[in-house]
Amino acid sequence: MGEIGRYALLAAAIVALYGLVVSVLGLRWRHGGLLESARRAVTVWALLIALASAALFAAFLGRDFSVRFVAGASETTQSLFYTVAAFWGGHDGALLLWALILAGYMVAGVRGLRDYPDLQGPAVATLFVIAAFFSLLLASASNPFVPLIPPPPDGQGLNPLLRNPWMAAHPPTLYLGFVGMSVPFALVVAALVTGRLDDTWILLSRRWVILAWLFLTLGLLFGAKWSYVVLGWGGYWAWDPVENAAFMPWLTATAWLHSIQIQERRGMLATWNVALLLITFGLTIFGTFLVRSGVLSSIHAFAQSPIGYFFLAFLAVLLVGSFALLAWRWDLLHSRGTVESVISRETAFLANNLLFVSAAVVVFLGTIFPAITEATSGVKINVGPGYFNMVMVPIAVGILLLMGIGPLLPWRKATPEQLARNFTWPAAAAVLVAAGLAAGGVRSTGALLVFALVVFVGATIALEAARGTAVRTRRGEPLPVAVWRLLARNRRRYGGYTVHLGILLMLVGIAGSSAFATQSQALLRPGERFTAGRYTLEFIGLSGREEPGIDITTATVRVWAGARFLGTVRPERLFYRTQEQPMHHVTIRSSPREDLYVILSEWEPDGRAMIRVLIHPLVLWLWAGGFVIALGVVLAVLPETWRRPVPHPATAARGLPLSAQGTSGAP
Amino acid sequence: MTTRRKLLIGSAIVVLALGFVAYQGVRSSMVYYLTPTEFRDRPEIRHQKVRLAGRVVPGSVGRAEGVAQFEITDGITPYRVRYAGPLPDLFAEGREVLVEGRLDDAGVLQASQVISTHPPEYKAPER
Repeated sequence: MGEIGRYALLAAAIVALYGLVVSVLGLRWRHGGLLESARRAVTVWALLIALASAALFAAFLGRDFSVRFVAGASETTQSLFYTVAAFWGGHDGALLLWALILAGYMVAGVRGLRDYPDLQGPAVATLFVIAAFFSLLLASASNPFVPLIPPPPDGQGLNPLLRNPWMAAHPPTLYLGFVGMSVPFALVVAALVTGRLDDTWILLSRRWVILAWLFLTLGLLFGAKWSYVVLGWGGYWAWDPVENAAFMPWLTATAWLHSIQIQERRGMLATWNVALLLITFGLTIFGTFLVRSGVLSSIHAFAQSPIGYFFLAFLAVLLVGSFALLAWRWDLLHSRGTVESVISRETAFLANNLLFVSAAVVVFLGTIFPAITEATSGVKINVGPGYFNMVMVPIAVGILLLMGIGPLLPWRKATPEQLARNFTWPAAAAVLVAAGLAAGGVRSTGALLVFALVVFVGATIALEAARGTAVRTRRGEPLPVAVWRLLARNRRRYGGYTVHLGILLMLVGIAGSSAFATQSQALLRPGERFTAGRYTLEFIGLSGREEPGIDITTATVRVWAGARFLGTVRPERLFYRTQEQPMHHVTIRSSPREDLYVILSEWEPDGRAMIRVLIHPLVLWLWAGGFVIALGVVLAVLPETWRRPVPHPATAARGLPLSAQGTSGAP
Repeated sequence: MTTRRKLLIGSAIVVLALGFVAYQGVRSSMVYYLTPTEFRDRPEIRHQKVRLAGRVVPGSVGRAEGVAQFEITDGITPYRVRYAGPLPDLFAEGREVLVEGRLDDAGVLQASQVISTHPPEYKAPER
């Protein structure tokens, strides 16, 4: 298997270089045959990467420990599920997965451009730049098929911390998001090269960016969920560089998804939208670099691997090249409109972009701060979560406010009557809820502010939906039909609102769990009780058992809420013998009100056990929000396939139908 | 005043305000990140909050009543650490850890946080 994989990767590197050279020459000489050959090379490259991936899968399934990567991430006792997930349970396999996903996107993206031959050529060349870089890396420094001689009788096994369904799903999802930005990047480069800088590239890339955005969102949430259930500290976000790596492109992609609406409606911000997409793609590569090179987790830069230099060089080539193109085409990107009034939809979008991009800059500076201080003063200085929270909370509050105001402001100019009509009731509802919560004993100003704004935004969306429905019921449509048609006929708009609702739920979860979380611990003898918040816990005792390769110690704990018996929980502590690594199995009793999180942290020889109890209010809504966001994105993206009209010779442009729909509320 | 100018001034105010908050955030949460030897050689930051990277000295780990004591070293300079809290799963003798805290007058690092170096995901354990 190792042989097949090695040769496939070597061939893939050659094909990628061939594709790159041929497509560039084809563009220069305007030679159709060469361009055709480059297009075919896309398929060949994708098949070779698929072959290499299949070889790695086969090596894992066949427990072929003569492949070093397989021996490092699997062992004979490992279940089928985690043997498959071990594919991306280490550096080299994860890069191969990256390439495999790129292969899929590349084939689909190039196919999707068959009606745009002028854009297709440069897009193929751009994608081959990316493909060539990753193929060369896979064929050399990050080759997952390096042999291990002699093969050991058994492998080292997948890191126990990664044996969790959320962690199995996290890398593929995140990479679908990261790599998903490649096709829009290729599109914008193609638009710059050809000078075709009307809205075409935006219409063509929008769907790709929305999908990539969804995968980024889910990837971030899966990672957070993994951290929450596996790491045993009860948190889901720590502003770790690895987390920030995925969060930065999410922020700029979100900004882009909003700012393109100004370009579509008012012909403004054309240059900005190009730059924002270039930066977003650059951040996905930068993120891969941060995670893969270990540059920030090690105490001295680049101590761990030489791959960091390759990545930085690649990133520099991409950014310098694409921004040089932008500078070259600057004159073609003129604005066709201006902001006419401060109180208008345009301003709301501009403010949105200012805040999202500021957030990305804040996270970027905080993440690379140690690298900056090491370069300037020779010592690494980290900034902690305190920095991120201090800056991000006001930004989040500002964005939340805009989320309520923006969608209901008209384009161009708002009149006082319109403002009163749209915002009186939502503002009143927000004030009432805040007053109610304050009277009910909620003391955290930040949380009160967030809850009040969540109510405000929720109320504006409800008001908007209610008005839309009322118009239809007055025409005699029954209520369910009216609601259905309102959603079905304005999918992009209501898809967007649904995503906003999902974000609101997430913010409720984040605000609730960060402002009101409590923790306590006690060293208990069997039979002893202790109280945590409204819960009483009785420690019954410890028991031990063995599973293949794992020693497990279980604490039996009975839980009451007040006088009501809730049940018995059994938090465990595991010890993986092969890896000599302990691990927690925490128990989480989840409810819409709060999570009760019980951990067996350690025990004494005399049978006493340290039981830690964390209470996280409202955290369930964080995960629920992710689900609602996914629904919203599906709603927003669906139309194109549902309503694809008969191609009209004049508008045979794929992608145009989506733009032809009503995209915004102002009449 | 033109709309454009109003927008520019508004943006400038927002950016300056955020810059100020960010500056305060850096000042209040900055932590020196050093090896034990580098920390020893910089007496001027002896009482600052630091994060030291080192290996747990085998045989040095003791735990009682929820308080852990151990030594970390970079091979040259050892420091004793005292930590009241749950140790991370990846914590073990001989492994790399990050310890965040302040040095007390007895020269013991009173840790507020013990972190195992994050990267299980991207680095297969070598043997």
